[in-house]
Amino acid sequence: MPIISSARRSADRLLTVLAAAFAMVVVATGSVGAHPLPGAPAPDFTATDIDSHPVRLADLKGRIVVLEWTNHQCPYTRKHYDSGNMQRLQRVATERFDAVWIQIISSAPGKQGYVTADEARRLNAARGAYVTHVVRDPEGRIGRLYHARTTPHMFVIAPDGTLAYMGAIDDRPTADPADIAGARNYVREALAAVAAGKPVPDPSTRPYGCSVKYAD
Amino acid sequence: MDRMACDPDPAFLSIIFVFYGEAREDSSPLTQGHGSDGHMSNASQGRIPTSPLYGAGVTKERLGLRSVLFLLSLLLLSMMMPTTSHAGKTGAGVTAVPETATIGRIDQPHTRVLIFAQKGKQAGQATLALVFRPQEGWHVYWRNPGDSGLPPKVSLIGPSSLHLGELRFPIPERIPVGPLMNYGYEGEAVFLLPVTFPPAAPGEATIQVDWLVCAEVCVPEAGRVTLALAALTQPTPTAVSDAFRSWRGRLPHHLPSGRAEAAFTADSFLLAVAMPGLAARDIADAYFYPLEEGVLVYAEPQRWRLQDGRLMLAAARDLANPSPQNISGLLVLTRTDGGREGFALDASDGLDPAPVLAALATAGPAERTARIGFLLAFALAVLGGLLLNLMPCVFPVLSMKAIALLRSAGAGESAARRDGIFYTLGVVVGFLALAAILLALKAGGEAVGWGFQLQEPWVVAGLAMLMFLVGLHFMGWWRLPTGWSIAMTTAGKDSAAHSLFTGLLAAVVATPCTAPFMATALGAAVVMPPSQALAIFAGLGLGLALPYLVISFVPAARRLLPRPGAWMERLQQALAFPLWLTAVWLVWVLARLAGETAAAWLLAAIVMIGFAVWAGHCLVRRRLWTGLGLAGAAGFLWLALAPGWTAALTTPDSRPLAESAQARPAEAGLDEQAWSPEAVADAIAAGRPVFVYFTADWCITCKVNEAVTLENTTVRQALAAHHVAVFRADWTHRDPEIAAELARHGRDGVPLYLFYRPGTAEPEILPQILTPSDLLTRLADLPQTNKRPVG
Repeated sequence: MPIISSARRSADRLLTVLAAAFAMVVVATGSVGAHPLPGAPAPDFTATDIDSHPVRLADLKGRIVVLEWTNHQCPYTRKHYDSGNMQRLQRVATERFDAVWIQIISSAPGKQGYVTADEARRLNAARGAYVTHVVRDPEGRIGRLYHARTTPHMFVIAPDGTLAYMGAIDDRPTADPADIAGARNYVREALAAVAAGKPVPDPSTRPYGCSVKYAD
Repeated sequence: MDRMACDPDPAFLSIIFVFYGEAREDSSPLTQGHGSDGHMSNASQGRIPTSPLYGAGVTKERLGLRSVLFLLSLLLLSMMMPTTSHAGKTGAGVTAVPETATIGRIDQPHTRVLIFAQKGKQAGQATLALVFRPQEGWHVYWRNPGDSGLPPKVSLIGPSSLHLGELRFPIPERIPVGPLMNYGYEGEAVFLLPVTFPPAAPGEATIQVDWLVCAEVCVPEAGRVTLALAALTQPTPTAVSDAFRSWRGRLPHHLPSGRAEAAFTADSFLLAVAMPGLAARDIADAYFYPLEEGVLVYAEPQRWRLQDGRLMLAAARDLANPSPQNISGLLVLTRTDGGREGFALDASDGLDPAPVLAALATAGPAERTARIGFLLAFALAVLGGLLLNLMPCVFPVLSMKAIALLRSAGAGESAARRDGIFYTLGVVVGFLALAAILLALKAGGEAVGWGFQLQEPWVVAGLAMLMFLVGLHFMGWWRLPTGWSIAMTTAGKDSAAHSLFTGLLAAVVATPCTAPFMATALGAAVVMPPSQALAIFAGLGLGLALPYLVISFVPAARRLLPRPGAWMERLQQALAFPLWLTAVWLVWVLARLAGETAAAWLLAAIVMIGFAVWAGHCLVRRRLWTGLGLAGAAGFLWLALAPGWTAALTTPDSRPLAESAQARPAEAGLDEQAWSPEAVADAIAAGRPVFVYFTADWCITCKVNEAVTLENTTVRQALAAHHVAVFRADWTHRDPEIAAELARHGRDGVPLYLFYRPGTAEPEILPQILTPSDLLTRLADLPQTNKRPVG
């Protein structure tokens, strides 16, 4: 009898593994979706942040949500972090506008910007980042869902769940921190417009930065 | 000589009992000592077979097993090494120009910039050339860098008497980066900068150059350089002016305005450019590089067609950004000789979309990149192989595996594992061989696809005879002479060869059935580099062999098998019948391929084989009668396959059915026509929804789908009610047009189902296992204006 039940268990295990593999493949092939558009509902996603808290976009309705694609080694991201510009923007968003700031890292393992949960926590602590959630997306699932192209690539989602702004952080596509001072910060503009109930002046701009380091 | 009776040889059945009994640790009175020679003695002489399993042979077997495993894993690993490939790589070579002639240079960690000058025709004019030489594997960007990146920028620091014109960019290339696309330059890129200066030329000038250079990572680089401007007023050395001539050749031409028109539809960007005098055979590829954001999605492939001197192009529209008012950009044509030409154009809007959409409905990108990555394709191939085990054409081989399983149940651990390994090896080698032939044929220009082996009558006939022979084996009515090692019933080292052979057979017979997921994986495989493509086919084989491999390695599963008994003998004989049914199907396929008379000759050949086998067993002058039987079989086979002979003997009614199928009148209820790109374009232009189905007589999955879905009355009524134009593309015989169309949709074999909504150029690809609801839901979605009253 024990022989049969152990055989049955291994057969069950095999079946579960196969079913799981099947499901993963189906999900992977189905992950190429429509382009997110300003004014349309932002694509919903579920993730777990580095503190193991679940993050679901649909649950955040009623608050402004900012998505920031980042890669701490990219010169364009460093332009905004080394100068303190990004941290200031995060503080304004979370304190003045009560927004939820989700920092997303879509670098694949082995690629530039990939971090473990501990590394991400240490980085943010060291540079004084003011984010609500840090989501690691090494498979690029959320990145591809939003068609995130560069780091930084910013998305502002209005409390009703529609995409209010997508694109660059500001209008000076350089790696020089000196260009921050005179630049027009699109994210700040979008936050102010959404909070005031007015239309965002430029809802979609061309993002600049390093390409998001997806897996090959 | 001791002739045995002409009924199933009892001796081989006793062998099964012996080995089965050993595994279950029953002491069998039939077992004698364990010899070190592993040969199976001739059972007809009544000797008891010895088992090499527990004797001296074990160590050798273990070593052999390990080395086989090692080799197999090496083989698979080496094939999984990805080779890099770039789409659209021109390989602009490094220009041979003396570096001593530079008027300035910037050296940065990843890029060297050399600056040359050429005196202009008039006083006060000159051209500077900024020659960017990035490190091997790094690239810089075009005006519109695509999804990410930044183009180089030049600014003047001083003196202000010098004026810099606009930087002129050479023709860019596409640089794919994962799911993103960049436009830029791998290797040397030369940017030309016109400058003007007052007659009293300044001695020097300082410029600032900023650029972004990337490989995997990106590094913004910059340099401030002071140029010695003496060269601007002196005649240019020959070497430098030669270099300038070749650099100017890399710049795009300018198309006069009015030659290009563009339009946006709901999801596409359309462009039409008048190119009189250009013939379709001159052009291998066309691509449009837009200057601004908001025109098209960079990573999506573009479709183009050259018709009557007009180049039409369609791309996926960028819906996320506001569309620019003026569309300008670069149309780059790749000639068949590999050279590229670029045309800078400004397109006026007002292009009529309908004729362009219709013309492009059957167009495709000439340069395909795999739509899915290698690892995903591999995983899909393994899964497809697993599912192939459930498909009807694999079932006969499944029965052979079942017999082998019963054998190995009596053979002990290492032999079972070895059988599993050799079976897997056979399957993988079989698929690799087929894939290698397929790729070689494709490389040679033949329009073949997966399943190609069943488009050849001689393959079909050979397989039918093989199925018949193996069925005879199962029945026990035939054994190969003992000189040959491939005997069905032996364990020991001969069984390895048998497992290998079974595996090879499985690979060959499984091809007509395409399981779900396989089409995507195979379609991706044929556009990848050969090593990756072969690895994907190997993955398919691995998936097919996986269940048996698992069972051969997991002893617990084998212990689940029922106890030996008389049922085994009956089961083995019963499994001959699925094999013979497969032979019947193959005869039917031959009938469709080469005509009913050919099929009749094949049946005659099979009967002669049966005669030869019977003669060898039951007649006195074995050799003579066997030889006669085989000669008869060969003769009938030749009659079946030689087209001239059959044509001479056939009446017009017995011409290949496949041809008549193409021309046959509409079946009752299903108004279908033979597929052709022009017919589809006409139907689309008429605003009808279109359904195209690709099928082949040797493709069982196709036939099942048609029986379940297309013969369904509800589906037929819905198709008629919505006035859907139904087209049938029959790929039973080789057809380059159909093969090209399959390739355009990323597939390499049949079935393929395409559904075109009214007025759209891009069809939706329906699932490979087609159900009536797949069609009905899409038809229900159509706008009501298309509905016609069912009459």
